[in-house]
Formats: sequence, structure tokens, C-alpha cells
Amino acid sequence: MTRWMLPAFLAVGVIVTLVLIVGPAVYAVSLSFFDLPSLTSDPVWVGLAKYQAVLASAEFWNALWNGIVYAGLAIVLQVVLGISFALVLHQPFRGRALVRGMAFLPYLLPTVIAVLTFKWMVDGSLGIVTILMDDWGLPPIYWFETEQAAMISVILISVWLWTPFVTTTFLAGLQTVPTQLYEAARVDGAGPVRRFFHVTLPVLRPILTVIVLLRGVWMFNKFDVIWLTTGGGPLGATEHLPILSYRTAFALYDIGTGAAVATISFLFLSLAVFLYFRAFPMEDDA
Amino acid sequence: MAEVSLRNLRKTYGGVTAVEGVNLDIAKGELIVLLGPSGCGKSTTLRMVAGLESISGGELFIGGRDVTNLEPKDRDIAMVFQNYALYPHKTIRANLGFGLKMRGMTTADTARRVDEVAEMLAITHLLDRKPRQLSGGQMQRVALGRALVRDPAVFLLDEPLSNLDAKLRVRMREEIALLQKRIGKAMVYVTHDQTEAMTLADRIVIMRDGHVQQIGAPLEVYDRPRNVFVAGFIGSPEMNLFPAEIGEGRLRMGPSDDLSLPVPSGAPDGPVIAGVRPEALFVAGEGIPFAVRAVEQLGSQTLLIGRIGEHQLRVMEDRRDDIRAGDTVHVSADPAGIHLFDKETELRLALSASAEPARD
Repeated sequence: MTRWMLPAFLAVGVIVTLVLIVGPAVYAVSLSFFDLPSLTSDPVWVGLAKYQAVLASAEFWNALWNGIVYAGLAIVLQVVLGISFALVLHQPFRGRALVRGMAFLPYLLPTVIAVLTFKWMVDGSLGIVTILMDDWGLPPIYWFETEQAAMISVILISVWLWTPFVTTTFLAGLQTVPTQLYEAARVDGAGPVRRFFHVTLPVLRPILTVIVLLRGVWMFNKFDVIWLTTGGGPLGATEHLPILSYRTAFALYDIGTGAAVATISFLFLSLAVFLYFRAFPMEDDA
Repeated sequence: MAEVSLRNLRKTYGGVTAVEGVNLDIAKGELIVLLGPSGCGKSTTLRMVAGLESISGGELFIGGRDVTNLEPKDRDIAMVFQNYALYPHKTIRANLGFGLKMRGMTTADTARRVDEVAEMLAITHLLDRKPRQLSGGQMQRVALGRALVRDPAVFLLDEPLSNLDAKLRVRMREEIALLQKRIGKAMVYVTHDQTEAMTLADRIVIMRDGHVQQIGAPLEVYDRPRNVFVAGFIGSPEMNLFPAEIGEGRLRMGPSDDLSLPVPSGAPDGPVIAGVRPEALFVAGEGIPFAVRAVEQLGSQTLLIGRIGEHQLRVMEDRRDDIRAGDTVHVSADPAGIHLFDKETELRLALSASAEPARD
């Protein structure tokens, strides 16, 4: 390897990163300091005025809260269900390989397919769920029409789509826990539940920490599920920061404010991740 | 009354038999070693006693109770695993106390008991550390401690020293022996290392392919191996085993007359498998010509490896500085040191009692 090769190889990566990631990000943040009614008009410097406006608006706080509720509940359900499925799929039974494969399928579906399928299943007149519930004499559910139901629906779809990620990751982790630890715990008198809390969970804590972090960040920034189902409605009940940012920038053509929302969202998430790492260090205390 | 009783214990997986009919009574304070090559069923047998493997047939009694179908925790046993199996996220103190906590012992009693055992094993200074901050030998002590804390009727040890280096293994072996005598409980110890078995055991159970080959005190199986397998497995360096013919009061190792050794009296004429320990052969002024091919110096002893006729043999001498590879010497044997086995069944041939081989 000659002397110029190392910088040359590095340069490729650095240039790609600068052009495709750093550049647009800096540009997006810089937009938040300008008034820009459309992408073709000349930007007017307004300083922090957009931030003042955003922080003073009820819409922003509503969206932030919705984002926290949506991401929080979705993560809790994904993790609890994901771990439960992983524990079941870890047991030996006939056809386990097949079931394991099927359990991963939802994760492979494009979001739009999953969302459209769900909407179709709960369609007010033709949906299979609607028809079955009617047959059983249950009252109809207005899946996307009432404020609480809409939030629950988008959470359910998200859980259905992304629980397999937790299941698969945790299952991979389960296979690395030494069998002898379980046997030692059995001899020590720990039943299945105590073995889970005293062996499985502590041993897999690093994996779980990463799962919750990744899923948390992804859910907080998740755009497509909500956009394709409720679009943020009804009455802003499912509008979170990505939707608010998009709607402000591209529906109301206030690009500066949209950029300010996105920037605040980014800062909030950075702070949350920082606190998360403080609370759950990746390395065990030595 | 035996503390632990294995009655015709069997283990099958599908159609495959892993352990066939083990019968064994273990007295209180007795140290039993299950010995054999890998896959012989010794670990499976231990795990059946522990309750970690279900018992396919037969019965198991511990402390007079039928525990054949009980969970490990209800059997009054404690186990030491090959890889220690310490809970990695718990402190040593918590590791030691876990079994007591699971059994509902109060915090104060647990602490007292843990301190007692830690002191006995000289690991008090390690109590607040985590397992990965410990050396192999220290982890081994903790693993022993976790078993001791529980004060069970029987201790089960599954190749506990195999992860330690040679020097430490010898030291821990001595410690285990002393500890076991001190606490006076029954112990079942699995190993594939015949030296460990010889040095530790009150009785050795030698297994092969799921079958018990012989049960006996170390010197008993050393002096009177029941078959060719035991003869070859016990003793280091290995016993010389070769086909031979008995005739005219001599053990013939080859076609020519000079390749023969004296035989124990009472041996029947005919083809046999003969066994002579390297230490039962000696270099003498006259005897069988022995072409030395290699000389291994062990310090106080010298191991000669060479050929007699077409057989490769080992001869153990007290230290000799004068024999080199390439030399030919003459060797002979004490008839009492020659073991004879049936050529077909490989079982030890019964001789008249007076002629039984014995070490003096």
C-alpha cells in the first residue's frame, strides 16, 4: 500500500458522506433560519423566529406528545411480544424452522402493502374483520375515525410490522446463552420464570438495550404508517413531528417552519438517546 | 444404607442406547469417579443423577428417597459444571447465595452461610467481584463454593478441572480430595483423565459405550483389570497389550523361541491377549532382545520405547542415562506382573488364586 492510497480510499467515503448526508442535513437545518414560501422563491433571513413560532404553537406540543405515545407504546408492545415469540420459537417443536421463517414475514412486507391490507380488512362494509365482528354480534369499531381508535390502530399496525425484528434479534441472542447457566439455575432451584429473569434477561441485556434503542429511534421517526393510514388525523390525533414537519413544509408551503420542526425533533431525539445511554450503559460496569 | 443408589439406570435417545443398566451404591463420604473416554455415557449417567437428563429406565435413590422422577432442585444434590456456569452478571456473593435465595432462606442466614463457605475456600476477598474478573482457578473455587453452600446429600462434579492448566489442575485435585474428606459427603466425579481418577477416587467406575466395565478401588482396577479395555485405560504410561501364545510354560510373543516371557502359574495353554505394564518389565542381563527406538526421560524415571519381534512395547525403568535410541537391550518380566485375557471375549482369565498378579 503506497502512501496516497489510504487518503484516497478515505476520500471516497468522506465525499459520499458529505454530499449525501452532511450536505442535505446542514442545508435542511439552515432552511429553518429563513422564511421561504416555496422552494423557488428567495429565502429571507429571519433568525430564530421560526423556532419561537414552533415552540409557541399547540400543534407542535401535540405532535411531540403523540410521537412519544406512538413510539413508546409501539416499542413496549414490540419488545414484550417479540421476546415472548422468541421464547416460544426457541423451544424445540415439529416444524419450528417453518414457523420461524413465517414469523419473520411481516418484516419483509413493504409498509404500504401492510397498511392497505389492514385498511381493507377493517373496511366499514367489505372488511373481513367488520363482517366477522358483525356475525358475532359485536359493535363496529371505527378504526381510524375516532381519535383514540386511530392512535391504537397505527400502533397495532406498527407492532404487527416490526415485532419480527425484535423476535429475530432476541432469538439469535437466546441461542448464545450457555445451556449450563440454565442447568445451574435449575439445580439451584429456579423455575422457568426465575430462570428468565435471572439468566436470560441479564445475559441478553446488551442485545435488549440495542433493540429498544433502534426500535425507539425508528418508531419516533416513522412516517409511512401514519401517513398512509390517517395522515395525522382525525383532528391531529395521530399527527407526530415527522408528519407535522412534512405538512408544514409541503402542504402549507412554510418550508422554514417545517425545517425548524425537523431540527427540534432531531435535537429532542439526540437528547433522548444521550439520556438513554446514561441510564443503560452498553458496557457492564467493570 | 447407601446414600445414593443407582438401580439398573438406563438412558435411550430414540432408539439409541446411551447408558445401559448402571448399578451402583454410593456410601456417605465416598468419592466415586466415573471414568471413560468421551461418549462412554459417564456424563449422561451423572446428569441422570442430577436430574438434568430424564431417566429412561431403572430407579434412582438419594438418601433413601426415590428421586427417579423429581426435578434437580428436589433431589438434594449440588453440581459443579465443566465451564463453571457462574451467573456472569451477579457478584460472587450473589452467585454463591442464589441457590439459598431460591429456596427461601432468609437474607441473614444466606449471608452467614456464604461467608462460612467463602472462608473455607479462601475466596472471601473475591465476594464483591463479578465472575469475569476472576482467574480460571478462582472461578473453579466459586463453582465449588456454590455447591458447598447448599450442603446437599451428594455432590456431582462434571469434569470440573478440564478447563484449568496442568499445574493448577493438580493443585485443585488435591484441594477437592481434602475438601471431600473434610465435609464427609458423597461425591460423584466425572473425568476422562485416569490420573485424576486414580488419585481422587475411593472407587472408580470405568465405562465404555454406555456399559460399566469395572467398579473397584483404584489399585484394584490397576492390579486386576477385568478386561482388555480397562487394562489399556488405567495406568500411565499405558499397559503393553499384545496377542501371544501360551505353551510349555512360556508366553510366546513370536515364532522364535527366544521371544518369550515366563507365565503366571495356572495359565491355560493356547492363544491369549497378554498385558504387561511398562513398570513390570525391566532391563536384565538376559531376556528378550528389545530394540530401543526412543528414550523418554521423565526425571526420576526413564521410559524406553522399542520393539520385540513385531510388537511395539514400552519399558519403564528407574532413571537410566546409559541407554540410547538404537541400542538393543534385554528385558524380562516378573510372571506376577503379566495379565492374561481371553482372545475372544477379552475378559481376564481366571488363574488359581495363589498366582494372581499383585504389586508388592
